[in-house]
Amino acid sequence: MLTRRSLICSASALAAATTLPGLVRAQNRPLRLEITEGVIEPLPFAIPGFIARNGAAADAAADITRVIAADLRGTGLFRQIPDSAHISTVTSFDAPILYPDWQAINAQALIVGEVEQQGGRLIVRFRLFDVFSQQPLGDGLQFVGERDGWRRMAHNVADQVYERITGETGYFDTRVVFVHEEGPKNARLKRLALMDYDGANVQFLTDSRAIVMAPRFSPTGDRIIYTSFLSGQPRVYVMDVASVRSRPLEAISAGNMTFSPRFTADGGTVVFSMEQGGNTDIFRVDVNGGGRTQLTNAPSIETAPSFSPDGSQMVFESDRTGGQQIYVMPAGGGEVRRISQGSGRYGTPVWSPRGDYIAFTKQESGRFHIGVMRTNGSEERLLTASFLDEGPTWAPNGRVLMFTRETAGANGAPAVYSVDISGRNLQRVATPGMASDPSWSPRLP
Amino acid sequence: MRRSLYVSSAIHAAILLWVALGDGLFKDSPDPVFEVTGVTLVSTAEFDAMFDQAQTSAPEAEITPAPRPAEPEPPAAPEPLPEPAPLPEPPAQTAEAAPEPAPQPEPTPPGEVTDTLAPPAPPSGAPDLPQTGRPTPRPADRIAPVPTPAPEQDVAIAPEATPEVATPAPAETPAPAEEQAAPEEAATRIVTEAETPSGGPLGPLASIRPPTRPDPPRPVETAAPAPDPAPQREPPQSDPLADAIALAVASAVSTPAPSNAPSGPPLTAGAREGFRVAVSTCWNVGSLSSEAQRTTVIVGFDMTREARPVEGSLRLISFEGGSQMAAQQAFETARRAILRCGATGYGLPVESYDHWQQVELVFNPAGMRLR
Repeated sequence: MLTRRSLICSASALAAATTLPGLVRAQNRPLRLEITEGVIEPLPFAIPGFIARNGAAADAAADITRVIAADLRGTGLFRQIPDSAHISTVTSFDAPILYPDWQAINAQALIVGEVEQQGGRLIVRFRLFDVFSQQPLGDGLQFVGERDGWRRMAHNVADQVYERITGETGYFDTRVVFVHEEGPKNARLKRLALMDYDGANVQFLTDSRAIVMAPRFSPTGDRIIYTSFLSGQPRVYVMDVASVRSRPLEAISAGNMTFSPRFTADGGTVVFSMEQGGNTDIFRVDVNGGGRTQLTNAPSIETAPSFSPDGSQMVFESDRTGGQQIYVMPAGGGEVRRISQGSGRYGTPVWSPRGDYIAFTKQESGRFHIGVMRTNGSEERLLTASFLDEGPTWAPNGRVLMFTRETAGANGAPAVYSVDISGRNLQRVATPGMASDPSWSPRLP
Repeated sequence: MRRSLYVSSAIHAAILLWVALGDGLFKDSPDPVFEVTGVTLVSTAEFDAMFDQAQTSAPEAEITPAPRPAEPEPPAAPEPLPEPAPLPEPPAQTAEAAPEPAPQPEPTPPGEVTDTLAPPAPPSGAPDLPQTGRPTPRPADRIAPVPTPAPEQDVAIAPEATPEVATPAPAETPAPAEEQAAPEEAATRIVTEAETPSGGPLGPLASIRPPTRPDPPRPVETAAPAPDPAPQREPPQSDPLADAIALAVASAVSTPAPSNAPSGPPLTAGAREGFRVAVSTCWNVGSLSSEAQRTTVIVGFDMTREARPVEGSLRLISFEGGSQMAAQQAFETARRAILRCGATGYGLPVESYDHWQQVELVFNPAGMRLR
């Protein structure tokens, strides 16, 4: 009796001894909460004027500071805190940061830098700080370049800041090729032009003897392919950006209209539309000539091809079902699949550099839209709406789109706009006149 | 069965014997006390004078608890209040065992200071000891020490089983505690009591008390087991094996409890929601990359009592749905949110501090993604 009881006692005691402490410990777990709603607003940052290490660098320091701030502001993701609100003044690049002063004005990021000129060269140094964490975001960096290249150095600093905060690659040190337009609407002169992504450093690539359209950068940014009416009918040309010399794309019958060209993902081949006997299909040729391959074969108009980043698939527009719609097919040919399912007409599809979205132009109810959809056609989202929006092109990070917007009326004029893929931050890009058909370069080497 | 009977009967017999023999012995103990009090060498005039001084100095002593011994008046008499006497110890048993209080009275010559210190501390209604009815001893000139021999008799008389001494003291503590207390009381108190001839009837018991008061550390620890009724109930069953196991288990369970178990009331749903919303308002996902906006991160951190996040404690516990780099961006955004909105504190109730001292926030941007 006693032994049985003692056994029971000991067993229960042991059970209690092993379970109770666990229960007690379980009570002492950290408080866990789930946060599913936040806010979407520009992140406030402060950028005190970069310090000029010597007098010769004073102007450059001011200019570089201004460009960096403009780059970041222009994304719509950042909000600059005006200098007049600053409590601290940064007098030395290596001075300790007085975080409370920056916290007091609610600056969440602080950019500090200095510029030094040595002969004809500029040295730009910067550091980025997370104000509330009171620690640097990444290491300080230094850029060295020619005095004339101060804008690129500023863009590089902005790219670094952008990348460190958003986790996305920057797109400030890029260029855009576009069609510069002059003259009245019924007698427009068109030239190819190149500019920084923010509209600075405009450089004309062609004269206005012939109409040009649809320029596209190569994946490496060293060549541009475009359509020109130089020969009297539309024909595809390839231009070397460095030398600004063009040549017609070979292996194309001289008598056929070719248009809507685009480089493939590897840059070694070009796809384009060619009209033959009243029918338009998509072809691929080697960029240096030869090896022509017909990718589509249908009694309809197939045009505006664009390749996925991995080169495995091609998206294009076709009116094979009556109206313009967007289709996807394997790069080497095969089953064609329609992905646009909404009402209206869809055209000029462009695959995102990240591969996650396809941008397009949509026409519906007399209005044009720039939109994006998943590569299977889902999650369609219209980003803009106007009298005429068309021809989207992706920033190299796949987060921003540029496109052409033309106003209505006899005096209507085209301009280049940009918009975030969220639909926010629609901005007109500063160009020296009317502009259309933008194509965004990859990041410059 | 029989064995337990034998054991039980033997114990009872021993108890009876002890009561029979010990009764006589214990009766002797009070005698020496009365002998001591019988020494009345202080005149009423002197006593009144001292009493007045004590009254004037008393309030000062009450204001400042421990350090106040500075009060110069040696004769400062404890006010005649009998109430202050009840000692602070919630668990009377363990308090007695610790003799440490001694050092405190040492700096102050008279024992009065210790008395005045006692009242502020005890506000918690403590179980009174039998001594309550007696007035507190009055400080006065004291005469040479004769009383010390008396306690020796008590000790000498109990030759047999020492543990049984514990049993006569009915519901009280285990034997060891009393054994230790007795000699110390005799040593310190008897000396002082003997020297106080003031009020004739004043009992020596007053001298026994002081040593038991200052045991703050131990009462706190032993207080924990009190809420657990189980371990206390077991002893009466007097099952040796079960008792031993129960004691072992009780000690094993009770020791970690005070360190791990969160004290204070849990956070109310409103407080939790308030905390969540406060962080949400600073969680800005607008500058996050698309991939980071698909990444859920769990951020852990510690909080100060003022409900401010401890900056260095913020850490990424885990993430889901994105790459390491995206998780890092999402973590930094979450960290900014926590620090920014927590700069002035999250206003959580401090009484529940144990419940929110450590926090894990799950930042799930599912509802914020682009659609």
